[in-house]
Amino acid sequence: MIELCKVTAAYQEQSILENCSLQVSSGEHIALMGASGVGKTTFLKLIAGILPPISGTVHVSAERISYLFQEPRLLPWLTAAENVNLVLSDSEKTIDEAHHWLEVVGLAGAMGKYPDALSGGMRQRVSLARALAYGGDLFLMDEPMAALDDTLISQLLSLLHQYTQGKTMIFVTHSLEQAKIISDKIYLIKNKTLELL
Amino acid sequence: MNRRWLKQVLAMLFWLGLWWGMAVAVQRPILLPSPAAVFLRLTDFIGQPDFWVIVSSSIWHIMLGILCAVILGSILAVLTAQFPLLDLMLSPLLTTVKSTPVASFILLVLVWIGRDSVPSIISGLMVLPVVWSNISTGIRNVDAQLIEMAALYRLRPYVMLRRLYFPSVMPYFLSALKISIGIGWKAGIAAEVLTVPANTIGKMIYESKLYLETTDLFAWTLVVVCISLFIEKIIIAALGRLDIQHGRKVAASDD
Repeated sequence: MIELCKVTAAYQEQSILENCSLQVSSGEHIALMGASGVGKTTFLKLIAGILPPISGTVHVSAERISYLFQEPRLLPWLTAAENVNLVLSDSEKTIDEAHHWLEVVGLAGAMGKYPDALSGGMRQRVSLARALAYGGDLFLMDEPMAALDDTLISQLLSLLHQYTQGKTMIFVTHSLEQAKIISDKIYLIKNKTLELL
Repeated sequence: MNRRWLKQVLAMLFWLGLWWGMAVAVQRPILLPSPAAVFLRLTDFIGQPDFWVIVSSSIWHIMLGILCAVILGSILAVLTAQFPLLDLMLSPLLTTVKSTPVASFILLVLVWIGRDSVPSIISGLMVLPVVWSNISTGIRNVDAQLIEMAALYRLRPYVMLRRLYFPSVMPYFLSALKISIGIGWKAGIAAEVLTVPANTIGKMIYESKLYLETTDLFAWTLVVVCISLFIEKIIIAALGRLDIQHGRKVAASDD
């Protein structure tokens, strides 16, 4: 599914990763850890194709990528339901499906609300609903639980586990506990290389 | 809202009072007519059949220029945002147009093209750089993170335009429109005054100046101000409603 071969990457002219290689099989869940600023987001951007490597090759065979960003990245002029529906068909045909995904993340009462009227945690859940609704075969999750409380984190981790069965996932986190729950393997970015924990 | 409206009325009454006080102090209508005399003259004008012909002719010429400039300015803004080379080429030209005195353009267009088209061309020429610059800024300020999200989720170009670009650029467009109507009318009337095409407000202002009819001059100026404000309010209200339909009225979302 994902194959990185001797990849070197930089972000804003600063070298982040050097000669990194990694293979992730289809359906595998891996967690990526590391201190702030070591290049975890850059790594996800490489896989998503947003950032080209300086050298080496990145091969990703996913048809669709569901990306959960550090920030919710919702359109402020659309309601929660419309934001989710945006990645479906953006028409009335799929609005029920958008409602379903908002119910799944526990936001049945917030469908008609605009992002400004939602808390940080609720916005992040709308973003999660959008990623689930898109139905990617590869899930790239960039610290999606950072703004959430412990109870919600455990609920959402179990949801993620349920809805990403059989799909490939790279889950960036600072929490070893979350990494253990969600992933089959844990990698650490340290000294610009990947280490398997 | 009512309180704000009341404050605006009070401010207007203050200035009318000041105008009236000065007119009484000066005692020479040829220099400064009283507000009552100007309003009476205005009612005289409105009663004459020619008035509506003159007003419609000026509205047609000036609004045609503004409309063309808004369309062309929007297209140019999209193109220059897309092609940096075009932006590099057009920026100095449009900046020059923006800072060149309107009288120079009026005289040049009068020599090159002929007087009937001058008001349309001049109002359009003055509005074009404003629309282009505002919309260009709007396009440049579309949130890069949202663009990245839209690209990753492979939103269709039509959806990206409708859901991301239009709502992001709309406030800049509305602001451009608001400024443009005022600028367009000022430039258009100046062009009419200098070129005196038949049946136009500018010609009436020119004749008022020629015959020292200061009351007429004030009355026609008032007509221009009222038309400009009226058109601006109507267009902004119509487009503002469109903006709300795009969901820009975020604050109203809660509860």
